[in-house]
Amino acid sequence: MKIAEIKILNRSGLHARPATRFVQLTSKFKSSIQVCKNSKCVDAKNILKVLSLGVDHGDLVVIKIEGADEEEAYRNILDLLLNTLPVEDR
Amino acid sequence: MIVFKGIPASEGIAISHILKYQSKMTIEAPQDCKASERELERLNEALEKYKTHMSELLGIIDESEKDLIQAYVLMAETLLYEAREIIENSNLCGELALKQVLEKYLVLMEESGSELIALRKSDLVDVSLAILEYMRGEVVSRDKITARDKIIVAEELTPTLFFRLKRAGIKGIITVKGGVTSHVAILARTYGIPYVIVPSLEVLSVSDNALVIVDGFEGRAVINPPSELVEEYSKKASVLSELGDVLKRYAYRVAKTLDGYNIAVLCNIGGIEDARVASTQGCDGVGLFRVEYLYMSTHPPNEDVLINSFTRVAGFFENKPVVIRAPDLGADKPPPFLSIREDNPLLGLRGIRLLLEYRSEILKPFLRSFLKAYEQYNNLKLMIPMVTKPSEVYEFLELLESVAIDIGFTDLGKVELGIMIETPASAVFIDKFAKIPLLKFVSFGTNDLTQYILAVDRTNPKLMNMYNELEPPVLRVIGESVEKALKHGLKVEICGELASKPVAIPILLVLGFRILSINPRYVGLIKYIISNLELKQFEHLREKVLNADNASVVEDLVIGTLRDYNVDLRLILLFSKTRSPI
Repeated sequence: MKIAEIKILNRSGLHARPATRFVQLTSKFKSSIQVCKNSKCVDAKNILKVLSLGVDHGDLVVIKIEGADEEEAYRNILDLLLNTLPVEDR
Repeated sequence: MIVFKGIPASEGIAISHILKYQSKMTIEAPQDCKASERELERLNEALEKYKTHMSELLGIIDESEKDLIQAYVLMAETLLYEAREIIENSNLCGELALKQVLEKYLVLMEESGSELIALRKSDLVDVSLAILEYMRGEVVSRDKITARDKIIVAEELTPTLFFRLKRAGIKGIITVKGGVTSHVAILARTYGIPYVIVPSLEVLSVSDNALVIVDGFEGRAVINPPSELVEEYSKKASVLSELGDVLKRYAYRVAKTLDGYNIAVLCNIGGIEDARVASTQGCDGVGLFRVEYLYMSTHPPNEDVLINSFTRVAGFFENKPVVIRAPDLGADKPPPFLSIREDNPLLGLRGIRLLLEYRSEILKPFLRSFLKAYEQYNNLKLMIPMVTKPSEVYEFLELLESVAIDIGFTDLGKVELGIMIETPASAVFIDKFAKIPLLKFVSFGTNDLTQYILAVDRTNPKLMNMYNELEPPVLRVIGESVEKALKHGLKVEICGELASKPVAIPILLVLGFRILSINPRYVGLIKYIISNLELKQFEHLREKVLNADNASVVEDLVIGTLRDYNVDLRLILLFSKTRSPI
């Protein structure tokens, strides 16, 4: 299992658009992926569950990935949250 | 004429007739119902129709909004996926199943405690309403709305409705509910449609077709305005729409005069969502974070709430300064949890006076929260409101020191502390304040300062023509005070409305201001003016404006000098007070 603790850097947190990007990415992998905030964990492939977590700019989240492609998922998810999304928002 | 004061959600000016729009935001479903044999098919068909409709929208919207459509489709798919499971397990009809799923997530989003996510609940409602329309075989979404050139007045709008209304050619929006970071507000800003949120149901009782001015700069809706006002605003609207793109470009640049003086243009904000938007509009930081809103409830806020607000706002601005003003309660903003009755609240228990009076209930928790937030974000600065005597600042500092000791905070020397100069006493006595250790900056609050110098209530309509921050006595007090402050090594800022007025900019610069804090809607306008001036050509104005007879002479002096510059004079004239617009 791969676990990462990440501070959310994009200005609008994981809301509609960024959450969609996140879910579209996580859904590409076979591994089971969870996203957690304040020790509440939800299925990272379900947009409604991700939205209801209320992840905002500056929040700490934990990503848990388990499965055959966990290495690749880990790399891609971190890249999206730490690089792509923060660069895209202005 | 009726004037509604509200929140400016999208800048710009629109003048037109009202179209009231009854937006349905509740899901109507039968209390009890059975799934038909085709229930799952009905659901799938509705989803397919919804997707088709959304892909049609893709053709008419900006590239930047396309991922919003994708988000909506994904939300729809996920909602229906869960609704399907309910139908299979319980035999409920599709409408009720969908309603159950929706309600479950609305509750979860509400509980998440994020203001932004609460605003985004309308996205889910939007998706669900559309699906239900398709399930019932209604084709409302394809209706052509006749709204060309209208100003929409509604309780609330959804993004889907926005797209339809936009396609129908609306000119402006007024809603009762919503926020500056709701999707509708974001879309309105993207498409340049002026939008004001008026949080009062009264606005819904205005008559259809009445004339209205939507002022998305000041956050005002004026119903049935007199013809002079319409004329004034029409001129503003046409100049601003002509120059809108130019001003927007300037917003994201550094403001530098033609002769090389860098001017920091910070913003005044009043909440987390406000800050989120301001941080994308070119503000060089926050010169005034008004925190009074946190105190407008039946209890003082707890420290977690305060720390959360301070750190979130600081986080949006990363390496830029964020000045938090200790709450200026009392006067026109008495907190509901204190019963203060005064004959003359503007001269009463307010600002620092109130904070010292209620030190254990209000001031100490505030200071503890500030220091804890500062430990995470040292771009935060602290400012004290409504000071008149140095002893008040010393008392404040003693409390700050004792709170710091309590929580083991050792870096007090690094915290930048400032006072707001908004009383004549503090302006005149600034050299005495300058001797206070730890005091690093002063910020002129010109609204109250002008009221107190001129003895004019700025909210009294009978005195409208008497209240003007450019009256020479006001400028003299400010000018002399700034000079002394600079001589004593204090940093000097201004956060009153004067700094958002184009005609005042050359004067403020020659008086010595290099840091302005303004209404975020004006960042482009003010940076544009600064960037097209040569400061040394205005130096001679200093003596002249301080010795002018009145404010209109002051404005004439500025406008006369500005004629030699590449600044569109219409902008100055439109926003000036004593000159009639062009």
